[in-house]
Amino acid sequence: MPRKKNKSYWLRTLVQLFFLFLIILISYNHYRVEQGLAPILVGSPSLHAICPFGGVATAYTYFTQGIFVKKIHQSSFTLMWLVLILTLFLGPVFCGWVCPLGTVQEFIGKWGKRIFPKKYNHYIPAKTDYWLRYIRYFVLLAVVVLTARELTLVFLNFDPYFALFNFWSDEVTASALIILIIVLISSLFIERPWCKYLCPLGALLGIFNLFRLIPLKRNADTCINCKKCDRVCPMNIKISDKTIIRNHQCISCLLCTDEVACPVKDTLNFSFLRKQGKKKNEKAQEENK
Amino acid sequence: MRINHIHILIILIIIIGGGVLGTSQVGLFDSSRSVQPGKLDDSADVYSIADIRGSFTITEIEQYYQVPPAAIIEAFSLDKDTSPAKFQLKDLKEIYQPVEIEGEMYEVETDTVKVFVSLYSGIPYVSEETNHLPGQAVEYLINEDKLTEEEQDFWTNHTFDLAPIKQEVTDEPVEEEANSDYQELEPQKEEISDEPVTIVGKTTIAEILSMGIDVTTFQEITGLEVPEDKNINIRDYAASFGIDFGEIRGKLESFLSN
Repeated sequence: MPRKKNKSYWLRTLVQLFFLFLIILISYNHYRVEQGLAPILVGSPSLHAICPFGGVATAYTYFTQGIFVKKIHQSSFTLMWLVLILTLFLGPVFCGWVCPLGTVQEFIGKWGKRIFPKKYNHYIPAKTDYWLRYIRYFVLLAVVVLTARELTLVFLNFDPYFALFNFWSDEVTASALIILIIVLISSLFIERPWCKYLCPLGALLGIFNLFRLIPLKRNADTCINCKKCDRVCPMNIKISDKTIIRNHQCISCLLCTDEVACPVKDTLNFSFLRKQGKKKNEKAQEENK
Repeated sequence: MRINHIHILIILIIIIGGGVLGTSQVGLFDSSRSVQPGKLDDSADVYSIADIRGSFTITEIEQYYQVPPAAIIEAFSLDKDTSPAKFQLKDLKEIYQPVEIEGEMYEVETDTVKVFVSLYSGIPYVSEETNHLPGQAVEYLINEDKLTEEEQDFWTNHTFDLAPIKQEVTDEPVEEEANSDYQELEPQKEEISDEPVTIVGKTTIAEILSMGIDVTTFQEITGLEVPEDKNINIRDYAASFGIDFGEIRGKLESFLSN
């Protein structure tokens, strides 16, 4: 008998919407203040000030010269540390729950799923896709090195996040707008294309998946091999053949877990414990009979 | 222990929400602007000109590069009432039109000031964009004896005229002058206005005090001490104490309206 689904998975969507509207409001407030108007509800910092990647880009100059590169604020450096602490425990929760660019791609992807129900998120051959996913590490390396060398925020010229929420600003370059358009259109065919292949922040946070304190675990004893977890994973991670999943692309969205997709209780979830108690497993097996 | 959606929500609130609030309290979440420029050389207090940003004010140029505000005001033909503490270098773009130099449009902005500061102070800076300066700026540098003969030869042959952006003429009475955002406040007049008082995020503490609120009243209304640097804007100052600007604004406006 199918288990009744826990409705709390909507929480992630609510959190995503909260951060999406927060960023839109902050960006709008920034525009208002530039026009001499008072901000509404929240402050009006620039988007550079509230993006943790700014902290990553300037980390080298901060530690070697004690300065932030142009346009980077103390707040983005602090945010970087907060996100890294969060990621150390839970993996890239920032990507799956907070990042507004990820949210926009995900929402466009929902239309893509309807338009191309079978092919969606499977357009790129597996082998090509596997290698393409390492491009983001080169992007990360290039951004950090070039930023350190030029002492300016070179990534701004290609940043689709800044372009999306500041498209009216003359600070947005044509190349960033073109990348944004390509990312948004690609999102109709591929789930989170920017996150998968190019995002330098995603690359850094993704590394934490290899040693995060709370990894994703599959209980092979209770797993019924339905492969639902593989099918729902937005990052196309093959979950069903591992017991501890430490894939560098996981975004901690919890979609695969037994709280959402997995039909068997206590079979797939994020947990501290290395081994599930034997009694607990037996109980879960009994419940699922 | 298995982690579910509610746990993640709580952890997000604690780490991100709590982290932002906590670091704001200790001054580690300054989102208002970037800090001081980097030093050119570890052994000396010489700041790199490349680190001058569009958000720098004329006062900050004086602070880091010892170029007096009067020099920039005169060299760039700014209004004599321009407030050095408020005028940001990027504001030049709003005052002067781009000029055509050697077939390309050139904007008078931060890089122009960087070159001027470099020539004035003798701190090396190589610009990839600016090889022409406003005629007034070159003239000022020559009068102040800041250029070598070689530099004089080069720059006197690489000048352009500043072209102010024309203001549209309307039949409506003009309330403020074009550059009034950057000018010092006029002494308060005794006239009583029925217009509601408006305080925006950019309003500085000095401006609020000049509206008729004394130091004690300011402290009573906002619960905050008046800072030493009164040119800080009220929004950033309130935010540095984790106080919502909207809350303070309402109280101040209400007091001033009454």
